[in-house]
Amino acid sequence: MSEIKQYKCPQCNGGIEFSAGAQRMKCPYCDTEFDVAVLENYAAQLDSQKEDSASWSDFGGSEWQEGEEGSLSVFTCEACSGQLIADENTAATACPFCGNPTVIPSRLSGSLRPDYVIPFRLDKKAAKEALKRHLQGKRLLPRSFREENRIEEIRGIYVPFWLYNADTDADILYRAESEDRWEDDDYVYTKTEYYSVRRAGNMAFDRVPVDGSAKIDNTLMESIEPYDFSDAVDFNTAYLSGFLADKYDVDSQMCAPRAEERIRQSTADAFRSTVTGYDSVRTVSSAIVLENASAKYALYPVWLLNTNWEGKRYTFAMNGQTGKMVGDLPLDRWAYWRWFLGICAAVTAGSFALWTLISLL
Amino acid sequence: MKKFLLILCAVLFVGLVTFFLLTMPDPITLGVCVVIGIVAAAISCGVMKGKLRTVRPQYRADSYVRPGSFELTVQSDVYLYSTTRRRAKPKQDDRS
Repeated sequence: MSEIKQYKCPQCNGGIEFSAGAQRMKCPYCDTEFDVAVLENYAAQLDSQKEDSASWSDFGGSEWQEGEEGSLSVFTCEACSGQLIADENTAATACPFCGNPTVIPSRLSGSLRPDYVIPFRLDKKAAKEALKRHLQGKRLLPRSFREENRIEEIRGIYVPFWLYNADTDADILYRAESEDRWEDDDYVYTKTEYYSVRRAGNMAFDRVPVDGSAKIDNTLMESIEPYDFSDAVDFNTAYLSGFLADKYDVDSQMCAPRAEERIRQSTADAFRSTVTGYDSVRTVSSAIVLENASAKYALYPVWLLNTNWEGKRYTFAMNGQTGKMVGDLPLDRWAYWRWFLGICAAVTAGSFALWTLISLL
Repeated sequence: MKKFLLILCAVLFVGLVTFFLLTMPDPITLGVCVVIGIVAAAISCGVMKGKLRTVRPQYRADSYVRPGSFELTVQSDVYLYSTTRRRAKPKQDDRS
């Protein structure tokens, strides 16, 4: 059986992709749509037929010397026989010669197999539109960035995420103060009452995501949260067709501290919000224990857009499910100071005029 | 829009100078007005600058709290002690 998987259209034999708009598999050549399960069965039938033929994919990679390729792997495209080179984490890509969407199931099998996948809901066109909207209304964005902005690369990628479930058991002690003020003819009195406040209880968290790919910036991925897990389905390689996908290269143990940090902070905030009626509250001691912690592996859809401006690379990310777009933008310093001086002059003049009017009355 | 802003700034500047010449304000009043202008400009430009930064880490996991899972098992508020301070009020000078 081949190391790579390409879904073929039963109608025209073209490479078939998952359509974010139709939420089904769609042939880009003849526009025929299929259910994921139907196509999976069809692909399985084709695979079983191929088992008896000569495995010419063995020729692929024969020219590489040991150690020469480092972490690269070579696969042979089933459609055009072109050599397809992928790094050790690539799980889905496209053939550089014929463009056929290609999935490498071995990268997502065994312990590497994701439990869930959230299929793309938004397509490349939606990502481009979202970027345009992202650039609108930014008064301090250099005009040349907006006008010359040419997206150099748009990639729809399934990013590996670890999803952490945990129950928290919290016991937190606070010191609270309540102030009362009154006065007589000679003095102002301030009475401060001190309280010892204790809150204990529990909470539960479901599927807190942490990016499991070292290549992708964690902060960028956290910025496009949240994802709606109700759209998640059991993992099936068919959803990856037409997109890029990586397997995780940071394991769940390595990612767990980040999830813990966020869970602890949310737990602390939730218990703190129950301490009310005081003028000031500070935490004296806090014990937040995580219990029944477990992790699942999922692939989440992300559109990554790259552009270069004045020699610097700018990366934008869009949640492929909700359309939330993020990406830092450059600052036009001249525009900043123009606005600063303009507002400063206007407000100074306005406040001075107001003062003059009041003093004249 | 840009032209309008420039004209507005020019008009306000002329108005400011006219008021200044007519009323000859004391330096403290003028200083207070300038400080108000600087603070307003800093806040407005800070907000505009902040719109350029959208990549931020998430410090909380509030979106992932299981609905209805929050349960308080202990809720105690114990009074410890109190202190009272008094501060003399400034006396009004009757002669002034």
